[in-house]
Amino acid sequence: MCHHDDILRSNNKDLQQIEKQYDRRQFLTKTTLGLGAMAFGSLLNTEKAFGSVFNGLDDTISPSFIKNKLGLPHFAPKAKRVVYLFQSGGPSQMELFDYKPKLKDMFGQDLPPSIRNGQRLTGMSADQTSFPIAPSIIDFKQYGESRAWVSDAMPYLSEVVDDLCFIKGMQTDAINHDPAITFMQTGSQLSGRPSMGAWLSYGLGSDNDNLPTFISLVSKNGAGQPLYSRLWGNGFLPTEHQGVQFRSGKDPVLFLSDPENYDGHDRRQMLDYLNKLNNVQKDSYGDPEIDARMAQYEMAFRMQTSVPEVTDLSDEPDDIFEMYGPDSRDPGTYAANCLMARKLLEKDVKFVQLYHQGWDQHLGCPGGVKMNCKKTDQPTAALIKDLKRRGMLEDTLVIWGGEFGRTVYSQGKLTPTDYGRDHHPKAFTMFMAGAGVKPGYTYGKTDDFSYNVIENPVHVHDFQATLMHLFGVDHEKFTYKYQGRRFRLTDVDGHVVKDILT
Amino acid sequence: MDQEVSNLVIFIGRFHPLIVHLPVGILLFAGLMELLARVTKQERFRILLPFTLLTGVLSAACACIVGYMLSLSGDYNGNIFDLHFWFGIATTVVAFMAYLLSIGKFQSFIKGSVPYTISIIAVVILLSLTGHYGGSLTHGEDYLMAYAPFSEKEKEIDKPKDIANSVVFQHVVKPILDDKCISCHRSGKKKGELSMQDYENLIRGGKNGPVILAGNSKQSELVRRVTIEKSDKEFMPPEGKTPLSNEEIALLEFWINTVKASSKATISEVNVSEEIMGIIEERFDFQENTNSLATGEKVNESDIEALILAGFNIREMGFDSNIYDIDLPKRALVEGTSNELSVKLKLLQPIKNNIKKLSLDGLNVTDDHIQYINEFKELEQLELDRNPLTTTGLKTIKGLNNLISINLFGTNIDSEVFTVLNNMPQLKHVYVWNTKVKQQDIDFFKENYKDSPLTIVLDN
Repeated sequence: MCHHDDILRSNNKDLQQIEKQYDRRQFLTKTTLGLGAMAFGSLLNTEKAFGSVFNGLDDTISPSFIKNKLGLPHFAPKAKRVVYLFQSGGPSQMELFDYKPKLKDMFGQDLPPSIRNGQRLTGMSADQTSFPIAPSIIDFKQYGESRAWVSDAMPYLSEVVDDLCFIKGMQTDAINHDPAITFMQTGSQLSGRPSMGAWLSYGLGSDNDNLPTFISLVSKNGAGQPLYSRLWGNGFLPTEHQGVQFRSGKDPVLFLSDPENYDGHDRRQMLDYLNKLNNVQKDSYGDPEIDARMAQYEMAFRMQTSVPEVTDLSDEPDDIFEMYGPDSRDPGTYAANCLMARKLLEKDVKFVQLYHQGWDQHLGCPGGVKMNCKKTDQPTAALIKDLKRRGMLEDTLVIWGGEFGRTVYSQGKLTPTDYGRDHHPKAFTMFMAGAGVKPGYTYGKTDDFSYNVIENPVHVHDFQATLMHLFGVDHEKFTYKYQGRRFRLTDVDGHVVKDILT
Repeated sequence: MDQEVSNLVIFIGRFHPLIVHLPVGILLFAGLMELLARVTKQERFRILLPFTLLTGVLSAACACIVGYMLSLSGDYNGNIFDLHFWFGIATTVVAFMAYLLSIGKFQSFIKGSVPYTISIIAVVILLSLTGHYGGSLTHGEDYLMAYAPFSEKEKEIDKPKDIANSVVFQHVVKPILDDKCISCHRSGKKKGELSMQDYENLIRGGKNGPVILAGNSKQSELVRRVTIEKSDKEFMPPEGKTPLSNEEIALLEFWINTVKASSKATISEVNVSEEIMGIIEERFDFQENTNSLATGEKVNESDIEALILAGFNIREMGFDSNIYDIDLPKRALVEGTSNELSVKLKLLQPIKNNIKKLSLDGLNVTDDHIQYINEFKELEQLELDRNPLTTTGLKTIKGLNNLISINLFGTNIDSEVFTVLNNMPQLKHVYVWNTKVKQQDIDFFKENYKDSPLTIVLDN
């Protein structure tokens, strides 16, 4: 540390002045950093190892091949990119994929205590005097060569079942929305951990230096449980690995366009000087966040051209819009986001995360499910078809799922045409498609009440371990040391679900 | 040991690991003092040497006695033990001689300080060797070098080709014992006179008789010791070491009960429950993941650099695997001419056997360019979509014997391409959306080549 300062002093009179003006905070920062200077040195080098860091050279030089200092991937990856269609709120498995014909005869009967087995319920239905069984009023049919059961609420998705791998025995630890989503995305119910996209960005770097490695798209006008940007946050990982949210409307990414009356002609020059200043600061303080900040300025600079390019859907032919459904012409809808996701994936963005809110059917379950399906069914199916015919399902993983499932018993009043369903963490359905997962396959099984998993349960950590595996990463070895402990996405758990891999 | 040794002797004996640190530290420090005196040529550094040496000798003698008491427990024997035993005594004796020299006992017939210095050097060397053998006894011979950067990588143990052919004892049970038990139960350090180093010794058992009763895990001492209450002093492995996991215990029980503790039986020869099979699979898979990274021929860094400078995106498919996933982004083509593309594609030649995935989509790749990627025999996935390619160009494809998937969407190919692709031995996925190929062409092809492995994706 001292040596650095000496160099600064001899070279730069202005800084010499500033350096002398220590206040208490600076003094403390300096003395503690002084001890950790060596540790920081190695840290900074690690930061540079990853592709997404700018190199300041002209952009025909791809920085994505700098030897990965984490030794990743551990083995050959099957997946190169992923699109995660997050259905926020907890979609009801019984109205969509988990067909339970025996329930028809049990309409209104009380859920046998042996099935619930003393499970603690949410405050919303724990006080109910009875737990009347509510069979789905939406019918199911079998589709494709795989003969998968899909409800009539998903007519478009039923056309692509032979490309899907259903996981019917999903299980989570959390029973309420925020902890459950946070758990799904970060491997911990408490906030503060990096989300999956941030982990992959940190570990594997970028495949396209002009766009962020991790992008999130949230359907507009989302009702129901709120979503927070920490769900695509970097946690304790360096800041440049956080997901960048693309919005609908004039500015897909905030603060990217030039202010009024400024055409940006000298921005490059301005950034070069800013980088010099930041580098001086970095040499002096060694704060890795300075690297992150510089990387993000550069990224923003490149995004000024790359983002308008990729968010412009005007080149897409009419039949594409027809395929994704009428909503796809309305920016910010789930359908438009699906189309945008395809474009981002084509540009080799590694992790595209969509969020669609509104699957929280405590009341009016059949109607609510149908309404959500109307918004999401066609675009989801279209995205899968579109990726497939472009050959992209070879190495693109599609994931569909929410944070938990719903109860077989009705929350509130059960009538022949209407019922509600409460949160249910012990069984729900997700599906995947593409890179390295078996197409036309169903894994796991629930009991007749879709309440307990009776065959091949898949815990959230197992799912996360499998996702990492598909990217060539051994989830037990991919760690980040923070506050004296090595953290990993799957905490101390997780088994790769080998049976669903090709 | 034939007669029983009193507990008190072993109790005192177990202070040996504590006491040995005294002579180690003190005698090394004596060596350091002598070195300092030699280097600085100042006699004053030798003033405390006799005292230091004497303290060293006394503590070494203590360590020897206590060590001998420990050895009476019978847990230690073998070659390394003998070496440690005799080197320990030698160290003490030589250190004592060094002490006598330092106080001038032999002044009358030994002149000069050279013999004295030699004796101190000898002490340090003997001390180091004794310490090393002692360490090997406690921690095992390979403890020191197991993680050394220059040591040879783990010897490949004969790994079974598949689960069915693996030998239950050798491939399932032995690794557990090696991992959890063998550090104390092996030749050289037979705690309780039990060695688990090989099958014969394990079956022979320890001082209380056999530890394994074939067909009856409940009566087997080995299983009893690892399953009793953790707080029990008979629980194994002892406190401070990692206990066996439930899966490992299940495997041991399976070996004793179902396999009847056989040394030769393979998995296919015995009845394996689904649960046990799951555990075995998981353990094998874990080894697969860590060890079986496919690697390619060594590449020249300069070749890779040339590609990067030419604008290629290069991803290594597995760290240090020398197998690459390569694509050429459109922005790398500055002029956009056919010649520029040819020049860039030629750069791939030196690493042609290291490329597993290649993406050349939307670059105006024409039939003439195919010649540059013709001999990529390791290539598994090829993306040529959105290029003005025709069937003629693909007819010249040869040697891509490992190709599994080819993306031709948005090209000018026609249905004739199928007969060309059908001859490629590994090819399975063909993408032909947005070309001259029609659904009836695919149906026609499928009709004529009923057992063709090709999955042709048009638009579903």
